[in-house]
Amino acid sequence: MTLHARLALELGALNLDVDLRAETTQVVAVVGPNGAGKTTLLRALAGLVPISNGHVELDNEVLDDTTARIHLTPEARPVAVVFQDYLLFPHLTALDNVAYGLRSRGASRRAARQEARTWLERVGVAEQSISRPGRLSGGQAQRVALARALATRPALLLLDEPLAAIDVSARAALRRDLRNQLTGAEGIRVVVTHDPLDAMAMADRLVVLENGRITQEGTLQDVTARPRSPWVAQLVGLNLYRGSAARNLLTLAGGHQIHVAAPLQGSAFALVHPRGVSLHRQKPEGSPRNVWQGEVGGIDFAGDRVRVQVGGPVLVVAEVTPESATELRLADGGPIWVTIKATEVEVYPDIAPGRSYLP
Amino acid sequence: MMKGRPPVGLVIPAVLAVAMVALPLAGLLLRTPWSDLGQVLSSSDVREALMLSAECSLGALGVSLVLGVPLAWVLARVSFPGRKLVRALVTLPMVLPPVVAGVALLFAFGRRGLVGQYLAGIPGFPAPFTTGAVILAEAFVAMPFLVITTEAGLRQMDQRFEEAAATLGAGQWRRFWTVTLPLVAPSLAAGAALCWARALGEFGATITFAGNLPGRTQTMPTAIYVLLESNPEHAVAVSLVLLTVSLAALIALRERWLGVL
Repeated sequence: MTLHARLALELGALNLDVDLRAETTQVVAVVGPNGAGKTTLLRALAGLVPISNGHVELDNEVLDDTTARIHLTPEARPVAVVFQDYLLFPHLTALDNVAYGLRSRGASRRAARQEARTWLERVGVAEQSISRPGRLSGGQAQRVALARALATRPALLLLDEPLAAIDVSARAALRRDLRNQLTGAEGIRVVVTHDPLDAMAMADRLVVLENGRITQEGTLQDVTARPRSPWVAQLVGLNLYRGSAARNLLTLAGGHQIHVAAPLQGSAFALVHPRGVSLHRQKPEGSPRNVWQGEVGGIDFAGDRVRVQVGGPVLVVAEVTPESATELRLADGGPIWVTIKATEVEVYPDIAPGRSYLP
Repeated sequence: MMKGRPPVGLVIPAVLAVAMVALPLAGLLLRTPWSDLGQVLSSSDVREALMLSAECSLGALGVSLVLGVPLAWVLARVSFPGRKLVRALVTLPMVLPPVVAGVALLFAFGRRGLVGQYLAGIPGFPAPFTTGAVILAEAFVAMPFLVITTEAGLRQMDQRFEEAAATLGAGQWRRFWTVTLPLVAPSLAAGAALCWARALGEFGATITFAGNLPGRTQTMPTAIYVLLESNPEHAVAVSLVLLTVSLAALIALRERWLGVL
């Protein structure tokens, strides 16, 4: 079974244009900053917002096709959604909430309730079956919502920020549980989240959505090893620069040039680990190819490391030991010299994933 | 709260205002024949009016529910040109003098009326001076209360619950019955209570359009009007019944009414 969605739509300031593929073998997480269009993408897949252009196919069934004027209504799609605030029907018990989808699809009240009960057991909230949603804790409500979605045995299960409404204290346990439930579930599973930790914990494959476009996709390792956007780089704590490479020189948009060890041609990314950035109060002498003067910005203490943001021609985050931080009198701020050895700069070509489906 | 003695110029009119409302009610209670109230209420003329009032007000409520709830839904959920105009038109009976409503109904449903000239004679047609006419007059005047209250409830409701139902395979009709209606039930109940209370007390449109025929079109309010001449004790007893019902409705609605309108 496969989901193949190429879709474009405009909604307010958002201009969404993506090509998303998902298989039953993997849990896919769509991650990205707030406002990137993640929820809109999910709503489009569920049929809750119309697309202006594209073709969405699930398990060989066409859900949307703008050229053939096909748009299946949400109720006609084999798609279930766990909404961000769950949207459990407040007037129905947990059991009847779970039975709702089965009843809608023609099951008798008795059969629907019986099956709903086994779903509540499966997600571990059987003892709450006669409770109304108002009496459920966040974690319980999340489980009931998951059971309600799973009970219809959807070909595509969509989860919108499933852990956003959960207390930090209960989050780790629930994240693990959700991971197990998702791994055990049939069908294609797509989780939308702005929390990379949730994404990493639950998904096999990440799709990074930024400003309505997929900027990167791949396994967790792929994405974190070679970020293609400042958002991802910042997420994993790396310095990322995009520019145009000519042999051993990468020219950034602002004109600044970074020396790199491996020669490359064309549009490229340069990745620098903060450990590879050295700071000096005096202009350093010697071999480093990349030397510039900047200004000490914010300082964060992270365990036995100190992370220093340095402004200047190029924004960079450096990681130094607390001893050097003291020696360099970083707390005083002021001008500082930055050096990066060319060998500390990893470069890779900038090949954008996905194509545009706007006409 | 403001400190200090409140100005006499405001307190005196306020006291008078309370007296203006309370005195007539006290008069009614003092004149009520408490000892033989049961006997009065079970006398044939009073009982007839009571029964007919119950029948007609519930009938008007039924008509309002069947027509008014769908109308409220359309006004809340479907955008069409002239929606504001339709809403204004539908709520007009709330401010229209009831006697004008009665006259208007006559010109529509009377023997020579707009539709009456074609439809009179069809079984169930609310021809003037029939029980059906009472129900129509009461529904005409009372339905706006239901429509307005329900529409407000539909607008306040979180429509994403309907979306959730749709993703669970529920079609529009099922969503309406299993999600929309239960979620607006409090507004619907408040609107229904207001509608019914208004129908029960309807006088002007009823007497103009349906007349005042004992056993056929004579409801409690129109009965009171006649009994006041012939049998004041009975008029007072019936008035007391209406007052009790109004009080009950007020108590039941005291929170909803302020909340919705």
